[in-house]
Amino acid sequence: MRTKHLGIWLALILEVFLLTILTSSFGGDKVFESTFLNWSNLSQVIRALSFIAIMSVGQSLVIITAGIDLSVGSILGLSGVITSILLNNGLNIIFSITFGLIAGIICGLANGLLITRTKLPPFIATLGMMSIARGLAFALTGGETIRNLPTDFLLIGQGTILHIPIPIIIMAVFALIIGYFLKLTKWGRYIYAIGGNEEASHFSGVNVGRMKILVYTLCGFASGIAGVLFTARFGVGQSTAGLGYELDVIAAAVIGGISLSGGRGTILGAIVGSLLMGILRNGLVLLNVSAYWQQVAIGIVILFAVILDKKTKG
Amino acid sequence: MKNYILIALIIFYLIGCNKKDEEKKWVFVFVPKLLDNPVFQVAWQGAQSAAKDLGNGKIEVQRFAPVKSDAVEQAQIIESLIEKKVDGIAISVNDADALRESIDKAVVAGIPVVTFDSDAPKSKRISFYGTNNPASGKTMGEYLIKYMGKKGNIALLMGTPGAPNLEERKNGLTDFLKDYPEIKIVAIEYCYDDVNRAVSGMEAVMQAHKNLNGWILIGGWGIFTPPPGPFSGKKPGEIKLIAFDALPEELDYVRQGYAQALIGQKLWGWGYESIRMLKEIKEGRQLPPVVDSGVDVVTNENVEEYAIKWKTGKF
Repeated sequence: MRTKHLGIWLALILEVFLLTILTSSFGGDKVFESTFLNWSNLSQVIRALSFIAIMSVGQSLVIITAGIDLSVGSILGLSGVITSILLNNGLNIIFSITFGLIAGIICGLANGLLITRTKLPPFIATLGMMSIARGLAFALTGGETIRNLPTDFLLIGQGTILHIPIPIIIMAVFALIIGYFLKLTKWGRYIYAIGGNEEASHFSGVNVGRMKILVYTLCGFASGIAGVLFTARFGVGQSTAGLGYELDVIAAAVIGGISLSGGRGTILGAIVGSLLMGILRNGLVLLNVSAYWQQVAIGIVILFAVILDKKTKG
Repeated sequence: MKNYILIALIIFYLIGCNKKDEEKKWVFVFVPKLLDNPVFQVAWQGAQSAAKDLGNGKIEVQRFAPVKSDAVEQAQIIESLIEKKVDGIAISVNDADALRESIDKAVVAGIPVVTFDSDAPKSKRISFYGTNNPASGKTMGEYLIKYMGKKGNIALLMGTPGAPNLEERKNGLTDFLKDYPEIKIVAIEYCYDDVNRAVSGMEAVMQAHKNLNGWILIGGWGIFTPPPGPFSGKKPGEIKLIAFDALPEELDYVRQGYAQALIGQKLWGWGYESIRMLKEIKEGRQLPPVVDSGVDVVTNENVEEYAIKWKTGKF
């Protein structure tokens, strides 16, 4: 039923292969050594892209319904700020995180309600939310960076389990749950149906409004998770956190084969798209490519991946 | 009954307004590049103190700024301040060329404008107070030599490509390093002012260059997160680090030995001195077009003193 994203896999494998070769030194003490393909580098890279990847999972649901959510980066900032303010006021870690996540959920819910009840186009509704959430984050901090967060909280962003950084584990678990929901439940099929043909799904009995509210809420929740992790990773609450991330998130989803016209794409695709972009950025630094050319290269890869994806679709 | 109270309130309010007009306060407006940045927060506190210290109740300071660094929005703010006929403007410009016209318009309309932190030298602004960027780049170089020696591989962390103050600092540094041919810049990483990209970019550079001896952070982004930040798995001091700015979060890197020197700007002075300059212009005094604020160098010898300044707000 759904297309297999052979192209994006090909691109990822090609990228990893090329980077491994180009960053390797042969001979010497070890037969083979690559500055790219080793666990310490890869775990750092994947941890850095985990925030984008988590948000792109939420974004995928929205895009599959033929919508878009521009507010993800701002919600990341707001959730992080709320969590860190509560922590600094002595609230315990679980509650602080919960409230940070609730903030994300509320923003997402508001997006969903705006889109379904007032019939605002998603682009406009979430553009408004992008400004509101960022503004709230600014207002709550009053421009101050929130410091001295408890060390136990920082573990969530900085700690590891079996040498795997915790943000990577959370990313994987979240992607699995949402992936299962989308692929194997009735509601998941509704989401695809809405993106394919909204009117037809409405007439065949799908509660389109409710499903849309659900996907925007989940997207807000994903941004909340990313916000909490981001704050824990960097140990400071900053209202500018995640500024401009919405473009990276949408790019990751699109590279991952999720069609902006709706109805097509998988969660795995979104994760692979995020990996492709994050790894590319790391690889270009390892290869000493200048910052100016890095931008050009990333643009080319985005185009290349999408073209390849179109070509390999059956 | 309720109506009487209301009328009484309105009368009191009108009397209050008249009183204000009689006193005639100078309204000086502080316009940083953006609202949310700790450095401008300190500068704003400086501006408020200046109003208190120098004003004798005759100076009122207000703050307006774009939510994020945006030259167009800043220009609109200046235009509306001209409409409001304020008595003086202190601005840190997001873009020297984009703000030039609005600044000139204000000055022509009789509103004195001074710049701080980021200058618009071609405009009609009366004076600039801030860091001499090329000189501070050179200072970073001197401290690098002091701690790393005259030989080694170094990497640079930059913010957004094209930012003029960063480029000036970098050029000041590279000019200075020309006399030290055995110091090689092996990588220049741009983080687009994003902490996440700064940390992961620095990690990647250290992956690629196992023989790195020193880091120069042209802005402090990579160490805005508590230590070890990008240096996890590394010994403090293994790679020497000289960084710009001396924000509280950066001081821990000096305390723990990861950073050897921080170059702190006179953030407090950005606000305090700009308000003083506006007052002096209003009093008819002549000011030089550029005032070099100098820098504070923070090392492990004075880090605790400097930390107290942050706690008390007295710089």
